[in-house]
Amino acid sequence: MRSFRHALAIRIALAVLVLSVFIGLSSVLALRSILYRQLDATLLHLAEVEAQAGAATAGSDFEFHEGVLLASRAGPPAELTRYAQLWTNDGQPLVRSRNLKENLDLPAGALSFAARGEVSWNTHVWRGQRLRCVLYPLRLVARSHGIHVLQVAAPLEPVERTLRQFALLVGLSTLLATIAGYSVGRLLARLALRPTREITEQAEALEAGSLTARITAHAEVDEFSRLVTVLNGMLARLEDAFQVQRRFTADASHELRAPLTALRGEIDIALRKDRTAEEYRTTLKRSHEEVLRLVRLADDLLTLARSDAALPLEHEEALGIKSVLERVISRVAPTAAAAAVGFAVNGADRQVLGDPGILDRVVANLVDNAIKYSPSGGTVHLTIEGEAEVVLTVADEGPGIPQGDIRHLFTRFFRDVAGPRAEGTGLGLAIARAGAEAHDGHLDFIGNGPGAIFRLTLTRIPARPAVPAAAAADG
Amino acid sequence: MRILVVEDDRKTARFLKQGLEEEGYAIDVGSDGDQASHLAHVNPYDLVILDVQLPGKNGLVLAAELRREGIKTPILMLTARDTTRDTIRGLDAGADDYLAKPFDFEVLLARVRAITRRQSGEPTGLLHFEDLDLNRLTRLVQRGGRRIDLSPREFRLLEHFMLHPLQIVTRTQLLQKVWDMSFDPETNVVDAHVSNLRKKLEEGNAARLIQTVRHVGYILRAPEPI
Repeated sequence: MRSFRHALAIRIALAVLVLSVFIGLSSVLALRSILYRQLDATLLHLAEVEAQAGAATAGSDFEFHEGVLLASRAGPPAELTRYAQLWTNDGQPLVRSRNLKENLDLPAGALSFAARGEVSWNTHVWRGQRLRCVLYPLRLVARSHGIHVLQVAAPLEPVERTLRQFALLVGLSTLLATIAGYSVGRLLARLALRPTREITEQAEALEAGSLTARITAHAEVDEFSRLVTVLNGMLARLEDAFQVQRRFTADASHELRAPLTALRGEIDIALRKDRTAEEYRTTLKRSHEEVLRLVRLADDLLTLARSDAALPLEHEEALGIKSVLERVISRVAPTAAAAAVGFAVNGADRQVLGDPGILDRVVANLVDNAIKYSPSGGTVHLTIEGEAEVVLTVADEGPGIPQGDIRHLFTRFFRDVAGPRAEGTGLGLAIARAGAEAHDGHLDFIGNGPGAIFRLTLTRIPARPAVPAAAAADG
Repeated sequence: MRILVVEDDRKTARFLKQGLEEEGYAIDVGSDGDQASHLAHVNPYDLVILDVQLPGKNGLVLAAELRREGIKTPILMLTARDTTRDTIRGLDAGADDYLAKPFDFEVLLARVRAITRRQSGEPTGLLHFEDLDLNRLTRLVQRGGRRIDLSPREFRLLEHFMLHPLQIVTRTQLLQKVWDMSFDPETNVVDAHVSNLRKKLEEGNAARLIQTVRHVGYILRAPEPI
């Protein structure tokens, strides 16, 4: 795995290296240039001094100031070694300093420069050592014919050795600086990462069951407060979802256990001793009721699970809301007749796009509830309205929803304790709302007037357009 | 043995009543917390079977309330939740035992027997008086080694006498302990059952053990020598 600390340290080290190399190279070059200039100045100065002294001689009796300026005796410091030689105007060696066992080389072109009275410079290898020399024109007073050439030379080795030592020093410093840069980088990275690590540790310590805890580390530090806020926000949302899930599971478990308990108890007791056929029949009838209750519950739970998974509608088609209404009414007619409840349908048909099965279910749940709460002889009012949307209002003439229950109406497994609760699963309105939302619509409780009023809103699609005139003409 | 069943699911309440009555227990049913609270205050129950999830006052609240008001009747709690936390909460609220739904009816009966046995201070479940033996677990009744078949109600009647030997037991007590609310206390249902019980116990000219205390009730006692 890539390490941020390592990467940061490497970058800092590289930066230090590049910088050090740049500074090192510049200083080596600068030093080299300084040393060369100094050497040249020394050589020129020597040449001028010697030339002034030698101008009066005849050339062959020329004497260098050996003891003063040139290191002549054995064991002078190499840095101070200077050679000097006098050449005639036609390139013949005339006099050389005593520290020279043989003649220096006269660089080509030196004579012509001297003939023009110009000083020239040269660097060349002589007897295995690099020499820097100045060639200085020397006009002898006695010998008026021609200009002699005074050559003053110095070995470059001392300068180059100094430069080598300096370069080595610079190189070592660069290396050390790079290593130091890497270490400092790691340290900085560690410091920079410490809050992250502490936040991580706190987050790790949180368990699924303890979602109420929040991250507190470095929440007040500007750079980290956002991360901590985001994490805590996520935790809060998780906790909410977890709570809802837990309550739903507990409720579902309770709802499933009630019929299972009755079923099991009924059968347990029937089997405890021999009973009459009538008693067995009663037991079977009761068991059958419980099985139906379980099947209904399983269906409802499955429907909700599907809508929770936000599955796309399996099947969509344009359909008239009135046809949905009529189907539902014809299906619940026996129940309504038994409860002596009538229907009043108002409003013209409107087209919606939807899954007929699901829309049937949504409307049926609303109508079922309305019948359940209607007084005997009451009417369920179904009204279709809306321009851009299709609005179906379902109103009953019952007692309305108690104020305290309105908040929980669409909560799963919520049931009006005082109401006729025996047959419901407590999921009807939750399913109806999920169904409406699957159609990008919504289902709301509007109020008590005095009976409960629910409003289902769906997206309207324009009625199939009339056949265009042109097409009609073609036909 | 008189038991109060507090259960809002009427189907569960129905089978509990039926099954327990077939065991000879007298059963009253309460369907919500407030009603159950009232019943528990009025009648001398030997046991309350209490569902946790009730409309109105839930089982935990009700149990805690009964305990606070000094009602020591054992409580067997029934719940649809069987998490450890819920069990602890139930027991802490004052329940004596705890059973998760759906349960095996035989297990429920065994727990009922265990709780009432502890309550009566007869941990073995074996009651003995003179030559009469009663096993509260197997419901076997013997007199001098001879087996006697009793109806569930007769068994509970004898059990009550044997739990209170040599003590006068009034008709009212018997009505409260062996019968449920649905019986009219003005009838002679107690006398009729005692009479039947005596007949079965005295078969083969055995001595009478249940004596009549005139104008008061009955007492379990050996006949006085003449």
